[in-house]
Amino acid sequence: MSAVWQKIVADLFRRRAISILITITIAVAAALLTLALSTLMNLSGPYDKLFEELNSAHLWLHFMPGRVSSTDINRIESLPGVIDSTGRQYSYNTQIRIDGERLGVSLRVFNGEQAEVHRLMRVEGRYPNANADEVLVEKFLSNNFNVSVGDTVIVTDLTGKDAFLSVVGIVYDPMYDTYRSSQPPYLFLSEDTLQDLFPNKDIWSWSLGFRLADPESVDSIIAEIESMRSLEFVESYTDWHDALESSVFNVQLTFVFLSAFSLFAIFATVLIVISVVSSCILSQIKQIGILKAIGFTGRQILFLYVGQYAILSILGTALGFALGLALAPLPLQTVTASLGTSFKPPFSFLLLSLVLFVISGTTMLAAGAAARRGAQANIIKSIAVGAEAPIRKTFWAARLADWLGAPISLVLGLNDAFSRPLRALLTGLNLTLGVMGIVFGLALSDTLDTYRENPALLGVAYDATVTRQSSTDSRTQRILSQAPGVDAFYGETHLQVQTWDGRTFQLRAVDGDVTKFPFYISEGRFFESDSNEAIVGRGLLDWLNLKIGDTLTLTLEGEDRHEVTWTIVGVYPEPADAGQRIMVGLESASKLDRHAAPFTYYLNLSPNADTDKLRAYLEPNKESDLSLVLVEDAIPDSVIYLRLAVFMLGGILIGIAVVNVFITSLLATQEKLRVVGILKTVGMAPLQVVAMINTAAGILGLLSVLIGIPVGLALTGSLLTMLSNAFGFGQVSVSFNYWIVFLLIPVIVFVSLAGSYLPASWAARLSIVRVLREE
Amino acid sequence: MTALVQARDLKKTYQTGSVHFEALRGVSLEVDQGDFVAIMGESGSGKSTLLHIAGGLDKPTSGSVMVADQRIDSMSETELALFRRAEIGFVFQFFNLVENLSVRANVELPAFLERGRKKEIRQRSTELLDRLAIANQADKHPWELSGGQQQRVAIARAFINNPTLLLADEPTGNLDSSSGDEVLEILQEFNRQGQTILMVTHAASAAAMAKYVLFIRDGLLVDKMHGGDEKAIAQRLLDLRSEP
Repeated sequence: MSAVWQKIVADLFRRRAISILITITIAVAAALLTLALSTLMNLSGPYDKLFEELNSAHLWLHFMPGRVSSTDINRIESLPGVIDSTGRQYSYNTQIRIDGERLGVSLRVFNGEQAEVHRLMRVEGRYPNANADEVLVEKFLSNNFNVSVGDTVIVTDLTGKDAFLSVVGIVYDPMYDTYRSSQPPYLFLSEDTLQDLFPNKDIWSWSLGFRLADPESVDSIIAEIESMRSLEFVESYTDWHDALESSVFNVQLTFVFLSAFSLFAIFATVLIVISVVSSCILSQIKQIGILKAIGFTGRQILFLYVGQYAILSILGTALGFALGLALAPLPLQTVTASLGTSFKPPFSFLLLSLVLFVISGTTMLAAGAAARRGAQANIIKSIAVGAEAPIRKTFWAARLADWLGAPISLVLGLNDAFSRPLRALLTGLNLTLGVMGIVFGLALSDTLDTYRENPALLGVAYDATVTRQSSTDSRTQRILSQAPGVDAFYGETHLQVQTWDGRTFQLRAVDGDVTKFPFYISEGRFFESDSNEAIVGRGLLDWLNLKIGDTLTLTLEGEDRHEVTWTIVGVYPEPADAGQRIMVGLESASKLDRHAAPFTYYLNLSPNADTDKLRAYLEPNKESDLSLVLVEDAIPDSVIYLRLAVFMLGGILIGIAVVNVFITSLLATQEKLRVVGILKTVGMAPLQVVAMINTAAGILGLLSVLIGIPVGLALTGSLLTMLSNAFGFGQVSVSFNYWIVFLLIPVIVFVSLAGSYLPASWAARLSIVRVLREE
Repeated sequence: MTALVQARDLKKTYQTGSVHFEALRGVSLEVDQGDFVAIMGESGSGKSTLLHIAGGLDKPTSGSVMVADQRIDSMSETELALFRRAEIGFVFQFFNLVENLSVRANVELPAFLERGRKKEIRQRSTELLDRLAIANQADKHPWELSGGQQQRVAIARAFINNPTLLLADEPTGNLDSSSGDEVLEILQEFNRQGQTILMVTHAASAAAMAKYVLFIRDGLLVDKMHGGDEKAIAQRLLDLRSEP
């Protein structure tokens, strides 16, 4: 065994450059895999950490104003499984004005810095003083409406008097569910300040937050409350699962991309290892013959190569794991930043074992398979012939090039490109993976641009929204029909509905000129407004396992008095609630709730609409209760940033491919030293040698780019559709700028040439005499 | 008349680690146009090194070499490649054919490197293949031929660009005696038509085909005699071995 060990060490040191390159390649793959797995295992890590630090409530019940008594609250607090409570919490939904913009918010009483249960995480500034005109804004409001410490928000009290409240701090509420677009942003203020503004406590909403002994027992606690017949005064409830899901939404997207690229990287690593190990064995087959002749057994030969690659893969995996762990906080940064906390994924033996198993396992399997092939070679033939003979027939492309009168170095290079088909295939696949990565990045980028330019594809088929408070629907419609620059509008209200088996979601009931809005219907058609037809988001369709043509019977949540059945006629890209919403005409929805009336109005503006004029018309004075919000950006920045990550990872794949081309070219050159020597002897000039070796690499690059572009596009389409379906968004049409192809082809060919340039110039400088002498 | 090959005081030292090896220690040589010169000597005597330097495959450590009025010891790699392509034909002991090219492609290879006209190259290769009696093997690959046939292909390749000088390194060393004799007859025939040949050999029978024979020992030319008499050549070789 010591002989095998000595040979392992000798081989690793003799091929130092290749050993280092393989180790780096394995390390890159291991780092990517570590990043992806660590992100998966710690998706909720930052949230969980914060949740525990703040002793947050697992469940919040929101009560209708004045419909709950202290006795009810005591009964709920004493339910088994409830270990602590926030006590009664007060809030009031109203509108505020910030920089001239109106916004519906929930004003909530700040429970104190040292609250037992459900403390708020201060991100910036300080906590408000009692009875001072000061507020805290929740992070979501701060991020999405550019509110910062020092700003002033204006609240109009019940007497019509404006109160100016200073923003003194920004806080994070772990139970604020950003996922639910129906939830208004939170502002926290002292109870005294709220009472000054809205003295009548009967119109305040009440809520109650609980710590549960078993956080997973939310459903059973709700069931018990229902059985107490208390749910009739519970307006809604917030489950910590939903809040957690919304906080990790962005990182899930990052995780999917990282996982896809890790798979690419693993595949690339396997290819490079198989390719390199096979090549090494081919170039050492004479040595294997000699080793067998002096007594090495097949098993020892196997150990020799598996041992070599075990060392390289363990070294590479260890380096990659350390690098991956160091970079692990990065993918989670969108979460940690939004939570205003820090989180470093901890070291995990499970993670290390997984990475080792995948990376080192595949490396050693590949090495074992190739070594077995080498060990089975005939001794005499191995010693006499040396390297396994390449395919000896002339490649058809070389014959064609010859027929076309191409230079001889090009013809010979073409002939060499496929003289070892397996290696050519593996190297080509490796390059193809790199091309696919780049195409993925480019297609993703173009697709995002297309969606940004046409928000209708994202379900945003309007230019602006208007919300009303106390104005009636008919008055609002009258104002909007005369508003300057408004081409069309429709009103919308939301109803919380449920299916016969208790699954609840939101229903959009629309009324008005909906046909004048460019609704994007990915499947089927839009509904007829005076019928019981509906269109649904892809998420709802999948969730309820429905298809176009099916019917859906719904009641209002918590009621079963009125049932209405709709026929599903189309699918639209629903931007909220993971696509789990339904859209119907208001007329049919009023059969569920006869008081249903629009509170939000969607506007289609004329191309030259003067938005300042429109705002002045809709909000002529501070008493006006209509507020206008213009649609500016349909795609969140976090998704845009993904493009950078995708390009970076595409670059890494190309880097791995270049290393593979380099190693393949180097080994191929080593194997055909004799041929290079002969060709130089008969007059091949150094530049012609470089051209010959580069041609072989260039042709692989060319074929890879020609295959990689269509395959990459197909893959991008499937991946985006898969992602889109996962988020309930439906079919995505992939955009790709085909002019890029003309740039990509020369770039990838150049990359291949770059990979083979060093081995080629080494061959060009080769001493003919030394080669011939070694024969 | 100016000699085709003029070597002056050629020295060649190889260094492997700390070990110096003097392959040539001051060889001067002249080969005239149309000569057929054989170089004989023991293994390691420097005969192949001398051939390689004369063919522009290697450069001397010191001394000068003129071949066909060109000073080749100071040429760049590219100039040497062009020189070899135009002026030199090589025939080796192990044939050194390119395995995955057909016989015809092997023969035509140096001509295509020279970017000659395809039609002319094809005509020339056909003539050579005919002359060497391997025309019927043109589309085969080297591994499908016998050793003698492979050496004929190598000879055809060496002559495709009408070289000024043919260098042969043990051309019969890997052949049976019958094939070896055929190869030597071919070389002699080309020489009779004016081809200058410089051949390295161990075999007295091969050296006897040359016009004259040079003996090399320990990197120095030590003797010269006319060819033709195989026994005298063999005896001189024996004598050289026994001399201190």
